[in-house]
Amino acid sequence: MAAITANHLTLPATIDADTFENVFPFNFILNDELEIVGCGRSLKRIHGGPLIGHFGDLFSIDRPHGLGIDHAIRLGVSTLLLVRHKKSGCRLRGGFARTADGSGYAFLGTLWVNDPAELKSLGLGVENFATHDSIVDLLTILEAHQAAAADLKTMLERLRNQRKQLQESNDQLAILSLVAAKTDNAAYVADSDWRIVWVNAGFERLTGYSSEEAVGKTPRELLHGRDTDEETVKAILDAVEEGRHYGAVLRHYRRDGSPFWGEVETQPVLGPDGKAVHFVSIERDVSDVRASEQTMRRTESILRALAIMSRELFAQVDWRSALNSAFPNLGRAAEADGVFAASFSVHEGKPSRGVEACWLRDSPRQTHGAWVNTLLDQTHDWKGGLQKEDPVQIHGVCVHEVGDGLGSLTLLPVFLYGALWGTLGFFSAGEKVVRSGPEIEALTTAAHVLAAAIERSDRSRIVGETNAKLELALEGGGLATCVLHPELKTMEFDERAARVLGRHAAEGYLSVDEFDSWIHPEEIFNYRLTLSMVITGNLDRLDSTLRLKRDDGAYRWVRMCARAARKGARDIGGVIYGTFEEVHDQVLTEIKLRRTVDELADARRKATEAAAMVQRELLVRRPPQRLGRFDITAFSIPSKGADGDFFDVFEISENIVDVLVGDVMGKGLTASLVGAGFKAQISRTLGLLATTGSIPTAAQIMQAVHDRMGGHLRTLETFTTLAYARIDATLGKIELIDCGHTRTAIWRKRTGKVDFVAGENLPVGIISGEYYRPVHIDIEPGDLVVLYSDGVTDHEIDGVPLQEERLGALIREAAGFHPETPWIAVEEALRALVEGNPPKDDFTCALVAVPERSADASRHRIRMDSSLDRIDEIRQFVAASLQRSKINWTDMDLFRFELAAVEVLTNIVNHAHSGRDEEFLSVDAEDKMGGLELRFSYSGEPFDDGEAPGDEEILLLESGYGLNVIRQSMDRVESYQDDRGTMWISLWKAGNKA
Amino acid sequence: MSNEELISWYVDGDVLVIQVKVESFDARNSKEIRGLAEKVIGERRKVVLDLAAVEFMDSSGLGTLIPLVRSLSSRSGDLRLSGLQERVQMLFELTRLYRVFSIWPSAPDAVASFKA
Repeated sequence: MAAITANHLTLPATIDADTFENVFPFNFILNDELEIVGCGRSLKRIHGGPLIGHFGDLFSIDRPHGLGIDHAIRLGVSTLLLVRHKKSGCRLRGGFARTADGSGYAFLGTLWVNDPAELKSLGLGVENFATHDSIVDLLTILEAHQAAAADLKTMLERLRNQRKQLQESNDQLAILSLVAAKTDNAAYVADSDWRIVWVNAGFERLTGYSSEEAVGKTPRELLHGRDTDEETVKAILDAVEEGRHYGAVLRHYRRDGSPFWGEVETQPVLGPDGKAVHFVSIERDVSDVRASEQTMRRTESILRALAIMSRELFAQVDWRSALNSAFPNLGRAAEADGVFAASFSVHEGKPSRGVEACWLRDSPRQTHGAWVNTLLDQTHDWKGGLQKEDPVQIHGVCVHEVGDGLGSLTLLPVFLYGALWGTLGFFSAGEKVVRSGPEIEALTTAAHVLAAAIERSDRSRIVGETNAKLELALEGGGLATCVLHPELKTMEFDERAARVLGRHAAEGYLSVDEFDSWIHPEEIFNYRLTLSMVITGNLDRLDSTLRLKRDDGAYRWVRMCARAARKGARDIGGVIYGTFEEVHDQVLTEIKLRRTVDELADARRKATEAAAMVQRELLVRRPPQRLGRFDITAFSIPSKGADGDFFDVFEISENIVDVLVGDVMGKGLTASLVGAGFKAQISRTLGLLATTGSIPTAAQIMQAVHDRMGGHLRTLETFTTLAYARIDATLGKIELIDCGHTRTAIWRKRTGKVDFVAGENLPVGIISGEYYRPVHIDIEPGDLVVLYSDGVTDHEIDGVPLQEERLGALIREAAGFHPETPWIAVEEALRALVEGNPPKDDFTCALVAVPERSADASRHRIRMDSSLDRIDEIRQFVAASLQRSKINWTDMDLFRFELAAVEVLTNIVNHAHSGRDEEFLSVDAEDKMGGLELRFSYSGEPFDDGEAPGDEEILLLESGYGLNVIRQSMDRVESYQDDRGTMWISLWKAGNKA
Repeated sequence: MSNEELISWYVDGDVLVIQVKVESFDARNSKEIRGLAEKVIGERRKVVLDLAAVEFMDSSGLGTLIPLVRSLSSRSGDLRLSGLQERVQMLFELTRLYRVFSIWPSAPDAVASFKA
């Protein structure tokens, strides 16, 4: 069987001929000339053999009225048609679909009968109808989809967990490597009495004590000696015992008595009571750094000596005249009250290092800041010069960085490693009066000497490099490291790095170009760009994940971090310190994860598109504007996602329509397909129940749909709210089944008011044993019934949800303004709400106008008082009604109607009215749905229409045979109380086929 | 209709034949008919209820017959029905009570069945 294309949907070509025949036993295939070239088995049975001939000779189109055959088939392929088989007179309901090969059209539909007795006359049985349940297939697919989504979710969760575990293990590794893998680091754990309970190999190497020797001893016993600073030790103890971490540098001693400088980081491990139960200490040999500091101290000593020398020089200089001549502006500064200062600067170009020697009179009024400002402003503001005999104190010599040509004179405290960014020293030079001119030159010379000494010490560089190393060590302790020399275009890395990079240690020194050649072509550009920014100081650090080629030619993912060692923020050049970290498996996992996430997003996007298509094509296609005698409009304005709203209308007869609006919980494909399943299931149920002999009630339809769909919905973890209204223009009644949906609105033409009516059922899919109870509502001709989804009442206007109250006002106003066409006016008013203000949820409405009572509706009524004496009267009324009926009734039918009517009358008089003769009742008789309905309305107590006794039970009863008799006599018995308190009993029996 | 007009009866041998005289055996008269019938039956055990005059009967009429047949059965007696018109016959078929009662075309047939 060729694939069939209909409504832009393609049925799978995998449907074989047998399946197609089973699903569409009433199908027929037309060629392009509209000649019938094949038909289903049930259609053959009706026709009495294969159908041969032109479509127009064998069929006519009943609905839509006035539609030409060609038009119906060629243009109306998406329209639901009612076609009449001319020979048998029976009607088929369905639509035409273009065959996928384009060779013709297939009619897909089923028999449509008003009266099940037609089936008998056509010689059809259950076996002639589709037995395959496509809804079950759809739901099975949905469940499989849901299961697949769950699997995907589980996989995603597993990947997340793996990534988390990987991250945690990496973190742990970093910590472990910091402690254990760092060969220079020593670590020990001590108990609360500072007794060592564990040491690592690094401790053994650094101190010379074995683990056995160390455990049980205190650090003081093992490591402290003559030059161990007790104040620092006390500070450490105080800090950690208060629960704080503390870092310090201590003079420690090895087992052989040799001293070393240990940088000690001590951390308490707190117990549940907040007190330290253990202490963890990590110690690093920083003797080399200390040695540098000592070198620097020696330099300082030299500087100090130079300063003293300068002081001696100053003592010989007539500094006032010398300064005045050398620095006219400075000299004029001597005129100023209380400010005496001088400055020497040695500049070596920009950027450059400079030296200033400064001194000033010791003045209690001078603050450091004022002094600095004065110096900075000296060339502009100072007037006059220094006066002879002014006492001057040489206050200090300050060397500072003047990279931008104007240095700051900030004197910074000495901190870790004695590092001073910018400022190198501060020296007190005692009190001296500078008197002679030549010493100025000597002082200048001294300043030069100072600068030279500083250059030699290259202390800034040492400090900068040390800090960069330290930062990297703290960040990635124990990691493989490298040093990159941009100016030399060389790079060196350690053995650990060689292992990470998969290179021989011999390659630990190489050109940067060679290193660049290891980098994967896709990453080289970003790497070079980022590195150049680090070198030029435009980026603080490099942090890149790269693929690096190993010796064996394979690429492995490696994380590289690097930071420049520089003296100041604007300093450029110098070396780059980097670390390498093996992250291959982690990156592959992340790539896989990202790909999965991308695939998931793509699948979601496709699902959303499919859902939108399903919704557009299946759920909210506009219904006919007129069904029977009803004016109808229904529309849905979808939100961005497909939210699963749906509606449908069914023409039961000229005077009865069913209309429903539903909303599936959730969004996307599942919601849309469940909505489609609901529509199909309701339609199918209506058809199936109709074949049992009578038109099912709304409650029966929903009960059957619930029984069929409820379990699937619970499996899918979703539910559906739904309002199903059967609007009967003849009775002037609505039978409403409300499954947790928004309240149904009814505009009353006579009063202009809007009533909102709610039912009492739960959404379908919430519980398994739901029993559907209808609400009966009186309506009058001209009233407007409005069913809608919560997307309407939740729609925000200026940030405020519409809600029921404003919706009611809108309906009242629009319908009141156009009382003859309220369905059009209300639709326009509702659509205006979403113009330029797209809804966040599907915005769905169905509006049905109640028609005037038909002129030919055959309805008869009798009203009587509450008395058993009326039994003969009601029998006569029943006999007359059957006589007036257009249906041919038999004597047996008459007996059954009489019997049931008498039983109901007896029941009302004896039980509902309990003999109160002031009560009343009335009976209407009307041809309806191919049968006759007797409808009792009465005051008093509700009719007990509980379970009628069974055949065997009846013998055990003293009374109660009436219910059994009524049910046995009639095809349908219903009782209810309307919203005005009136009781109703409806008896209906199908007519016989003429 | 007076009570006397609701039923009449005669005895044929040891069989009591009660004739229901109403056209419509329904809630309006079923209690009275039951009371009269019980009174007439007394200690008799073989009873025929002739419904030949009854054109229409409802569940109230049925409700009269069930206690009568139950009472007679408890005394090793029996209640047999006769002369059911078509509509009354339909009621028995509708309720399937024809399985409970012994139904005969006429009162003499029913009386004869006791003697057989």
